[in-house]
Amino acid sequence: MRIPAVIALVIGAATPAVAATDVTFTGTVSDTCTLAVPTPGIMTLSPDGTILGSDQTLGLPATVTVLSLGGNTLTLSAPTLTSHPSGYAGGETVQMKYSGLASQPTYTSTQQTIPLGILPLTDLIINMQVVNANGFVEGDYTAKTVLTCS
Amino acid sequence: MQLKAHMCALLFVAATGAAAANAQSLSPMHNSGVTPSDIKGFRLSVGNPYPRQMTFLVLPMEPGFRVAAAAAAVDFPQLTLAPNTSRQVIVTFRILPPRKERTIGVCVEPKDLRGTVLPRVCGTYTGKLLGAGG
Amino acid sequence: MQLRTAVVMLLLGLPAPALAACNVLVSTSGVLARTGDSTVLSSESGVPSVIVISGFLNPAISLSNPRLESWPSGFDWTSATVEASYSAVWTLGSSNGGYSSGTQSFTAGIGLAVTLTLNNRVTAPGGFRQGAYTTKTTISCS
Repeated sequence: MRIPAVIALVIGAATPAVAATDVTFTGTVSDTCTLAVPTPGIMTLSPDGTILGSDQTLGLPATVTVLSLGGNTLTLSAPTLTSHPSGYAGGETVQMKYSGLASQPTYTSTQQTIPLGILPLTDLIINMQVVNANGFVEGDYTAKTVLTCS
Repeated sequence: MQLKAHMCALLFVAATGAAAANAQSLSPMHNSGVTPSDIKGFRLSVGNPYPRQMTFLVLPMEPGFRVAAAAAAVDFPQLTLAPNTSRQVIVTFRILPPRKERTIGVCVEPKDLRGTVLPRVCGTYTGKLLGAGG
Repeated sequence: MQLRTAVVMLLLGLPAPALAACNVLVSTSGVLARTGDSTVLSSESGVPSVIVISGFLNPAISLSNPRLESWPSGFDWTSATVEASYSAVWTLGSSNGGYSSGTQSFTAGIGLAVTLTLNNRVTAPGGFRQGAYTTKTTISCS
């Protein structure tokens, strides 16, 4: 009766032993969005005096640099005239168009949404114009869109 | 009649004539967690990834990022960051009864920025009462 | 009586048994981090894992089955590729292997221990969703 046990013990001692271990790596990924405005944009007056626009002569579009890591969305709010000189009567239409990481080739007055996802450093070029058939009184004007990455 | 009608650019551009870059980053963009009390806090990282000192506003907002959030606060609502640096801020908000869960937004934007584009990076953060389930 | 004799002869006729299994100790746990390429998570950007293997005599060491163990909801794990690379040193010897999703093996010479530096890398063409990721690689020696 003992002999089978001895044989089993001997057989067990003769087999090479193998060790196996799982090595674990952990990591956490966070969504990130980076916005930069290296070029703020400049609007100038059209020859007929009814359009203030960044695509007029000597005007300059705004450039926004976007970096997105994750499922982010870019929203451009409906552009508005946020400041104007006294005596200005209003009645304007503020519009924007953009190109680069997304395209809106024609001027629009409505909010725009751009899904981003994973995006390396990419430019969005934004043109803006204020249109008023009655023209503009002398002074400083500010038009703005709020660009939100969320 | 000569019209002096031009769009105000960035404050730096108007003052110095030099081009300036305004930039910010926020991480993480989303987070959620439980709290044993009615106050939830999150630690966020605000970054200035560009080679220029920047001052940012860190603003708690309601989801949708249009209205400031009530019963919410940031320990450093205004940050001045050196180039290529980041800093952690803590945002806390109260989960007002009878609600057992609340989501707020946090937006980071440059302070006193003038120009056609106001860049903001916004995230959403959800707090749940411990044991509320769901 | 004959049976006992047979057992003794059996015992004397067997070759000397091999040493017991080697010891695999994870000295440093690996940490994955996003690289400059947002489609790659790698411990080379985080922290490589350091493993010490000891208690052996001429072992064959293999690295196998690098795999994604956990990921956040919504992540397209089917498009992800997991690979491992290593650098091993021991007395009077070393071995290195580049990134591979298959099995890599080497045989260490006689020595007290092998120090193995292991890296994991996950490549996902569509990028990574926010959340926690875990990879594993199996180390075995014989």
